[in-house]
Amino acid sequence: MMRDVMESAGLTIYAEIGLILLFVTFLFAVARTMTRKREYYDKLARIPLDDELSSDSAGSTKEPSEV
Amino acid sequence: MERAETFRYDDAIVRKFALATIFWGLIGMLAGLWVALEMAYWPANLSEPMLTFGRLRPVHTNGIIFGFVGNIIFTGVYHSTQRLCKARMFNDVLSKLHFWGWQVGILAGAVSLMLGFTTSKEYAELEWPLDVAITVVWVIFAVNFFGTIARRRERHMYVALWFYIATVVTVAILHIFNSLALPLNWIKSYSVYSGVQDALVQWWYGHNAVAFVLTTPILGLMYYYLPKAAKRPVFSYRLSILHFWTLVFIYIWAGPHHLHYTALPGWASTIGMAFSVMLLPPSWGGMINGLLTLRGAWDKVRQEPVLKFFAVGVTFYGMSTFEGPVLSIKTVNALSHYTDWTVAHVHSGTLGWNGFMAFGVLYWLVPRLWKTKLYSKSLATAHFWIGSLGMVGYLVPIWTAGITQGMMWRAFEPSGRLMYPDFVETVLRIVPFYWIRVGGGALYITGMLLLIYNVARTIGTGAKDLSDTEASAPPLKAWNEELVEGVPADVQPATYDHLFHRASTAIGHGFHRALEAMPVTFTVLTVLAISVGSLIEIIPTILIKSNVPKLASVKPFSPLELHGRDLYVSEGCYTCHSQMIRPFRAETERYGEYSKPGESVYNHPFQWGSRRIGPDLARIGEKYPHLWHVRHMEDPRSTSPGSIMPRYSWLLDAPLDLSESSAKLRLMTKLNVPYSESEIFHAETAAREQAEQIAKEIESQGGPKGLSDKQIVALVAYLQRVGVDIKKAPDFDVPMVAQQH
Repeated sequence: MMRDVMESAGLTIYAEIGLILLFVTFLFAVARTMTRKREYYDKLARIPLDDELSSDSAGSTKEPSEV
Repeated sequence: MERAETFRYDDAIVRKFALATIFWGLIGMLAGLWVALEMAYWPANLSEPMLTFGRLRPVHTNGIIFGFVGNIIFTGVYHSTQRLCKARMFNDVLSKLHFWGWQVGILAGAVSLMLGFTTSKEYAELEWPLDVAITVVWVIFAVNFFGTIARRRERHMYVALWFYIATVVTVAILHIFNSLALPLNWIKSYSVYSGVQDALVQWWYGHNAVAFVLTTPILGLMYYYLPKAAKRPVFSYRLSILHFWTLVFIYIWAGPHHLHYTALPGWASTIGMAFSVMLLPPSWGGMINGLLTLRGAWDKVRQEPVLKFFAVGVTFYGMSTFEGPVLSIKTVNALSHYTDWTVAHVHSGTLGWNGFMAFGVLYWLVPRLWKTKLYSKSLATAHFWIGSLGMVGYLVPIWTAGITQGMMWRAFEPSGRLMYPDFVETVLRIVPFYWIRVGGGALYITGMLLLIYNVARTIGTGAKDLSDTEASAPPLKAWNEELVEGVPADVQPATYDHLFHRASTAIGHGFHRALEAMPVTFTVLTVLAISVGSLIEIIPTILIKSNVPKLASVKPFSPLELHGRDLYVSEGCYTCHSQMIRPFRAETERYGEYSKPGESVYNHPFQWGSRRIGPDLARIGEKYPHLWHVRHMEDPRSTSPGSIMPRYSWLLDAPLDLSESSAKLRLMTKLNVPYSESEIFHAETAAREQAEQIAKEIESQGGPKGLSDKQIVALVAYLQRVGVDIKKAPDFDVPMVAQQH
């Protein structure tokens, strides 16, 4: 029953629309990512290093820093 | 400046996961070494059911994937999430439940697989009670993880966290949908999917287990620990964003490349190939991002074993993700599929990428967790070199074995006959490579033993006081509080102006930054990204009839055959034998008519297999007399000299229990297998009659007496039925769409 309905409904166009939407969304994400300033990303990239810098305003930990 | 809050990270749970990683790593690798030995030297199967290749191989794969890699993921996630969120884990009790639940699950899994309780779906072999338990543990993990994110003191979610989020949600979806099954009893269930559909769902799962267990979380670890160890930020944060979204959008589509030239509809297989090839650029973007993080730090790589492991690990990520797309191309796959080439490929990923990244993280983390220095850097460096040598010793012979055997299978004499018609010839040619692999694997494990010694000594010198690390950070302002900063005083909250200002501020800070700050939205988008590919590939295959044309002559198994099939599944026959003949001349010459989609419609689960350590069995039915099978199971070398198959002599002694025959048939009817009420009612009697009949024929062929109540007759009944239905009636009801291969 379910199969018959699905088969006769001509749903293939939905798959194509879905794919196109997916691709457009992806392009949008890429475009936004590429247009941000470098300085902004530089700050974010330092997040994992921050928890070892005790003077950093974001926070501090007391961990041994050398292996 | 806000007043900073003081809190403590939960390091005890990280220590537990780190030790569990090492424990299961050793167990999983030893199981791997054992199965490698069994392939080189069959007596290593010891004629002990629990240690035969078919049962031990899933212990190795599951042990490594979920025990070793799973635990290093949790080690890294519990350690880095707390620090990236500047918050303690959400709930200590949940952390402990997660830890112990996971370890008990793996232990129970290993034992149950050795006892022969298996669904036969690769990397998802565990039976339903364990599947349910795993789901519960995973939900506990998810609550704990998202709870921590919700309580974070750092607004931005660093890229490692996104990879973790993708892992948490995707693994849940994959696990649940692939494991859907109807239970017969506590140790046996049948997949709700059959044949083509089951194959597609299984390899959608199987490939994404590689993607979302072995890849994305380890990338998360790379993005956290590589910068930490190199003491410099990741090369390009922008590239890491692209890396993430491209992987999440594309990976989920790639599964069907495991089913090229099988009975899977051609369109699904082509989509899988196209998306697999598309995976190369983002994967290499990630590799380049990792390696370039080390730019200007190569002098440190010379000094520091942690960075050595990371550098080689990331390089192996690049090599595997180059080889993967190549293998997914149909023409390459025609040669590589069913051979050791695939095995070499997956091991370059697990030994090189997963293993070396895990070792790097452990060597970096263990001294910090126990508040001391690493016992010996030179031992760690020795581990690095021995491990690298071990990988060469594993990969080179297995690549060679795979290509050699693939070429032998398809070689023809000038006269048009197969050059190596006897399958065992192609096996004997590669056994020397199996021996070299045992050596390579043993070296890799030697490295692991060095790690264990080094870690043990490090812990020995560890601080007595292992109280949790203290940290401090200002609390996070509420989302709207942060955004209203700078809003003119005359703009009232909760008005359109206010909302508009919020929106414009959010956009002003960047679309993606707004996204990163919203874990829920972020998670929903990730789920959508992975769902599109899944739905487009799976729904049509399940719902559109023309994708799996039925064959009028294909009938359900008899009760005894069904029982024999359960034994086939339980012994893990699928680990060495495929049941899927591809439409190539080299295969139809060797095995017979190629396999049709309609032939496996009653197969819950499918048994197409993925590797031919022994020959394909799709047309084994009625090829040999019953007695041949009995002799072959008792001692494979009596019928196939040189065979490396384990002995299954106990099947001739083990009693046949047919009491559940009716229940089995009734359960099958719930899965749309057409058995009549009368067949269900008389199932046990019918099974006994067929068993008597087969036993009588074995006896008349000169075989042993009194086998009618032994398991062997059920297995023989099943094997004699495999692939014979289409021979019986030539009038196939095959619509044109099935002819697309």
